[in-house]
Amino acid sequence: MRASRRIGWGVALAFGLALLLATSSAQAYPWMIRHGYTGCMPCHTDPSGGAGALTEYGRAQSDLLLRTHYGQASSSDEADRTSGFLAGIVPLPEQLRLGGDFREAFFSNKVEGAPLQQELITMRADLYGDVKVGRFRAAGAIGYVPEGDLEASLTTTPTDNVISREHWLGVELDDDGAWLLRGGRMALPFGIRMIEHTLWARVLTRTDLDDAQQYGASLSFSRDQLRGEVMAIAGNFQIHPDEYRERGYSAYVELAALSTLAVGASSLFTRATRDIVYGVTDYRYANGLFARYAPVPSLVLLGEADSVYQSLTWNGHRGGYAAFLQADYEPLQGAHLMVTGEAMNGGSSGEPSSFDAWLSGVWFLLPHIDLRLDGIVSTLGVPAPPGGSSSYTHVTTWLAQFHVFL
Amino acid sequence: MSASTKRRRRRTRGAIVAVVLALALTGASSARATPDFPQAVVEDLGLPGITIDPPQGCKLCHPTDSGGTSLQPFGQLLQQYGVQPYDESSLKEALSQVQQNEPQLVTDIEDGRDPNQDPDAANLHSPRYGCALEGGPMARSLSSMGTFVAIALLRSMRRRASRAGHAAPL
Repeated sequence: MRASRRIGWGVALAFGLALLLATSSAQAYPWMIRHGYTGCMPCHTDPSGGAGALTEYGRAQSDLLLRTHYGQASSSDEADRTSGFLAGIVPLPEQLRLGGDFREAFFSNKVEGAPLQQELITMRADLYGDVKVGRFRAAGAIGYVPEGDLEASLTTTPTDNVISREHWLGVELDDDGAWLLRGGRMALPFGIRMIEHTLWARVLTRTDLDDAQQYGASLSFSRDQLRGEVMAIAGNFQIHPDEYRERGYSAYVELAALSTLAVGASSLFTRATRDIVYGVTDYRYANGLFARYAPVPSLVLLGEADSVYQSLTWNGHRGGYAAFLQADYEPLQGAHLMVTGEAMNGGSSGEPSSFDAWLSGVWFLLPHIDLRLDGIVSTLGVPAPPGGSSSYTHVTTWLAQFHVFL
Repeated sequence: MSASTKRRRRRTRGAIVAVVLALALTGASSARATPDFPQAVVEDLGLPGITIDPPQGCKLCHPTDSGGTSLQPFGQLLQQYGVQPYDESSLKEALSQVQQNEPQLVTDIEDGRDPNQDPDAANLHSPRYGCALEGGPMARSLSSMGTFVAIALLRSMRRRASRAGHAAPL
């Protein structure tokens, strides 16, 4: 019985992992700090980065700094014309920033004691844009998902949905756009915004770039060494009925002590009358610290640690944590080797901590195209059944991705 | 099959998918078939025997007799009121909450009706997603249409830019 319980837990967790990985990823490369970019605004239309379109400058940097140049001088100040939208074939006015992502993956997952699971996954098929007229901004994204991302869905079926992860209106409060006031559906400002949206720090805090965006009003700033954003959360209006919507706040602030070192803190509180997971009234708190550091240009260290506490009516309290440390080594421009370690405890009664390790390789081999391979070994803590003891389930995951961005 | 039955079934399927997804997303402790639970329900409600899906009674909470992580709306409801696998006291507490807050569902069971077919079970306790549009084939059509419109717009912009002499040399 205990073995079957472990397998059940493992399958459930692995299924969760599969669903997580079956959903999208976005462009968010916090390791750009190796080039002295501590802020996001120069390259991203979203002031906190990660989501939505790139600026013209960002496109140029993606060509100059991101991809492999095969012997050409990468220090040239002039970006290739192909860095533009649709490889530069379609010129756009400066006020209009458009983009798109298509990411397909082969996913393989082996849970100890369960059959091997393998499938092809469309992780992302999105188009997005940002319009700037004077100080006014409007941004939005639309995409199609065969499976998952229900919380971003515009349509209403369990599969094959049209989704919109983000759509917002904003106004820049000063001449250089350092202060931006926005309203609409946006990614929650919390922690390090990065492409690995399945990291436990993102999942446990529900702050990933996949479909965890919420509606609300946000004020962001990015000037000199300081950047931050605070968002009043009004709920996800793509979930019904209203009692499932979380309301509260989410915020982070980051200080760049050096051009290659930034440290920050995040905080989040929400209340939902009926939690989307537990189905009961839930007061959810998350607080954390994060840091990015490039001791040498070829190496970047990223780390984050968050505590998560949930007060659940009829289900007691759950106090847990999630933390990760990632080392990104770029021996050759455009080729990244990454090692990531994670720890997490969801806070269930008697739940032992879970651990995993990622070994990842990413190659930005051509303009607008990159490949990625991840190998993940997880040791998942299984809570003790009544009268029993806790245990662990081992999971091995492989994910090979092909990514094109417009 | 009537349109309302189809709608109800679709809603129920959506609810099951949604809850499984939500559980999986957070690594929450998942509900599994607990063999003693059907009998515990019988005893708690003072029923003469298993009245739903005899003889096992698993389908009161799960879509199939093999149990697993998927839950019927009534199973979701019990979980929302704190049922823990293998913990009959948590089941007893949850059933008393259902009796207090959703007495019609308990009446369904007592009368031999499947509470999962009661619209109240699906409507009250399952999140729904999206706006008003139906997904499925329509979503694919909309995606194709959106792509077509986007390409048409871009081509039009490009033509306009060329006419204005601002186009980048190709």
